[in-house]
Amino acid sequence: MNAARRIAPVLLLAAALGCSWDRFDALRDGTPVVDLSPPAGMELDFGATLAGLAAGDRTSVLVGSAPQSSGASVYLLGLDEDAAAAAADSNYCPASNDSRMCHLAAQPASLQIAVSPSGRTRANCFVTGVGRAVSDVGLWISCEDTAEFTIPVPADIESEVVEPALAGSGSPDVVLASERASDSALVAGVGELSRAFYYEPSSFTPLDLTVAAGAPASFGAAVAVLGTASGRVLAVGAPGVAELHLFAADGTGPVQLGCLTGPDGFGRTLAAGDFDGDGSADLAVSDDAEVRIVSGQLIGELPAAAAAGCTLSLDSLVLSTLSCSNFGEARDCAGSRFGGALAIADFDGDGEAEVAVGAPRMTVRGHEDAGAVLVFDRAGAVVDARYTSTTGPGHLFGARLVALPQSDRDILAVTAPGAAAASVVYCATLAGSGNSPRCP
Amino acid sequence: MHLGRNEQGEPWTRLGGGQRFAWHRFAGAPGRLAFTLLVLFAIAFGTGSSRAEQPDALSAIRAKMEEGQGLFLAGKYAEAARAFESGYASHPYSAFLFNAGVCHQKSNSPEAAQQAFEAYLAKDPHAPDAPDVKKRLVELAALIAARKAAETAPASTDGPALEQPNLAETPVDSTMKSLVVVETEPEGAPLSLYRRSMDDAAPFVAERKDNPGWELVAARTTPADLTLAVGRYHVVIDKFREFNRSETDIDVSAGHVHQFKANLSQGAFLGFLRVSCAAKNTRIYLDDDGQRQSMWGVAPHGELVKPGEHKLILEAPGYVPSEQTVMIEAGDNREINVELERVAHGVVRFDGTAPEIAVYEGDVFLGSWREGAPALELHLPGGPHQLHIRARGHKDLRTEIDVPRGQILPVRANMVKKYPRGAAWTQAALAVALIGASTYFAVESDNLENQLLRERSLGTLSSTDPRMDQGYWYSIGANGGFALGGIFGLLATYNFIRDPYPDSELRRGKKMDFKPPADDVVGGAQ
Repeated sequence: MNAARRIAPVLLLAAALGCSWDRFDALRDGTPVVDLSPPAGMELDFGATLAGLAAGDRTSVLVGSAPQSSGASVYLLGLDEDAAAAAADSNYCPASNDSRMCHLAAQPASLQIAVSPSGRTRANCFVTGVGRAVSDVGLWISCEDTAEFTIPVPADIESEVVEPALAGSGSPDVVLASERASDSALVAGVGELSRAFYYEPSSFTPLDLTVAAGAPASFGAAVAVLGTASGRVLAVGAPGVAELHLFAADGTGPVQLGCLTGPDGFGRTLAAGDFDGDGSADLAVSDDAEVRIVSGQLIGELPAAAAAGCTLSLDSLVLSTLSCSNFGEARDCAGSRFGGALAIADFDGDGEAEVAVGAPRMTVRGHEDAGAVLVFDRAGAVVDARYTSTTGPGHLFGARLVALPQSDRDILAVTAPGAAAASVVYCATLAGSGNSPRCP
Repeated sequence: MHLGRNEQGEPWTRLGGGQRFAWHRFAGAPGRLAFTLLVLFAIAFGTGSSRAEQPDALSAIRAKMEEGQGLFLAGKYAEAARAFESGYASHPYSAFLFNAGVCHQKSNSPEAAQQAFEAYLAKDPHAPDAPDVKKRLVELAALIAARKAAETAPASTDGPALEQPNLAETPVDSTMKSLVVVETEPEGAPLSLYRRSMDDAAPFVAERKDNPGWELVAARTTPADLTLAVGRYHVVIDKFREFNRSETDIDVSAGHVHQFKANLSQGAFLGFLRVSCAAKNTRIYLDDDGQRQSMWGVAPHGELVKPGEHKLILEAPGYVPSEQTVMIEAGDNREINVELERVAHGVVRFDGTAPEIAVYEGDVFLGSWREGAPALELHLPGGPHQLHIRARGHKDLRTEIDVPRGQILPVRANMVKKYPRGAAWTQAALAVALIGASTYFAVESDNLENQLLRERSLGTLSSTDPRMDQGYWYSIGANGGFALGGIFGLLATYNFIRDPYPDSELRRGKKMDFKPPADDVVGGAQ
């Protein structure tokens, strides 16, 4: 029995000290990355579409299925690293019946304030795509109060986009964009139709964005709204011809400001944000290889109809050019689709913006097409590469991303459509921000 | 020893009990023939009929005689009488009857005494003391008659009743008689026995016709057995055939058996040597010159030997042989008691209760024993030895054994089977397996935790990372395994320690002397 007396404490000590399982509970409670749980029925295409909404203390993200399909969920992220992994509402782009039918846009958008055709003002809404609400067709809007309605679209868009979508016969993709502001305009583009239009804040009347010399091919494949000191600027990309068309929208109708041209694929993806801290939103524009940050202030200062052709000097407007490079365990920039998604925000809370650039086909930890998000500072240097511990081959992490505010910094919501996953990435740098529970 | 001389001037040999041998040459024999008379006496040995008794019979006669004598001296007259009568029934010598009669007299049994004395006279009507016995019978008859008269007399109230005569209170000669056996070789020699009637009588001289103080009490031919009273006697073997006369004095003590033997054919005077030894089965070699080819006898053993120096070797199983030289003179009667020293080693006669048992002393293998085989005999130095006894499937036995010198110690190892440890081994195996698996899971969980901590420090740790669940369950598994392993370990330890069976033990038998070789003849005493 003496031996037993000697062995027992050792066993108890080993059991007590060596193998406590709650350490994993502690880890789970404070992960730097929170994966959002796809609702039932969205397991396959979850994360193919993404939009963010920031309105006061309401920070939420819309994660949808593939474009032109139905089904999108909203997740509440809060401001204090307390994101809920479960969807708060999974009916943001329903497909219940013919009178309640929504088809997702390739890029949804959010509106802090939306006014329905009936004249009612709604808050915290997502413009998820096109659809029919009762008998009205147009852009589908679902709001936090569960209100659902459509706003009209131009007639050609209704006939060529909305109706085919509702008929299930296939339709061109629609991209949408708005500002992170309560009085945001909403801009929409249909690149396949070389069409773009927009809505003034709190308006449900579509206004066409036209190019005097005629819309180039792929015009409207990407859109963005910039709030500049000089006024609101709408950016419409035509990556097929490597052009970026700029319009002023001061409430009296759109005014063409000019056109920028760049390398192949220029205008492929657009994102707005105050990169240089001058109070005006700057524009991130990606081409097939690089991302350029175009000064919003300078754009805003462009004279109306300064040029009938695409003659604006890009170099004079560019604040920074971002190129893909290996960082950490993220490799293989070639073919990485660097710039497939963009966001400008202050991710590390230092008061200076960084640019998050999605490269969904980068190789991470040896996994091809795992995808990563490269973060650049103002100097255009890569300071971080974001991916998750579960990133695997073909996940395409970073195919969609959106910046969302927290109380002290911005965070990223990133989707990995290849894994039908969406994640909230809290930490800004690989070393961690070092000042929050999730980023020790 | 006192030496006298016979008529030829040859020495007498006075031996032990005062008996005296004489020898002389037979008068009519050729001059070259010398006859030696050797009178041997062996007080310690009994006698038989008038023919020479075998040694065993002599011992039995002597034992009976001494038994009766001892009881008589202890005052147990009735028991003494029964002992003498029993002796007579076995060995019909008249001395038993006389002594029984005396005992009956002492026990106040006149009728029995009368019968005994009458039987004595009937057995030996020419006994030297026949007149005295007849006188006793008369006295006994008177006494018996007086008793009967007293018994038949009417009771009277006026006078005193006739008193019963008490034989025990009657003064009688209560001296025991002894049996004296006189033998010659060859037999048939004329024997004359004289009794010294006067204490101050001169020594008996055979040539003289008149020896004052001596009276002839018996004239027989040898062999002869005589019932004699205590006293000094003179034995004369007259000329017989070609042998000369021989004579000797003898002293007869009470209640004994005396044997005298005259060897008339010997050319030299022989001596008698008797060797005794406390060790059993002691073989005696006399003048064997170390060849051990002809054993003289087994101790105790006595025999006539030629005068001179004799080499005496004694051997006994378990003892160191003893060798010494003995000088025997003519007519000598030598009694030698030899104490042998035991040999330095002993034998442990080993067997046991297991099919096969190995015996070690320390790490030295001593031997093994198998069931059905003869006992294993371990020859070991005398003294304590630490034995380690092992048998497959049985408990080891470690014990000290004291090996007796020159003796055999039978021992039996009662080997007790080991308590079955199957359950303990199973539990131990389970404990080891569980603890091993738990250790693996614990290490793996630690590895996973380290990986996850690194991921966390990199800011890449995902909330759905499966390694967290994996590590979680690994930890639970490790804890559960440790707990179960600990329980099984404790159970195994308990079951390893638990042993309801007794220990193996060594049972020691009674020590035995070494056995003599099979051809040894263990004879009786001489």
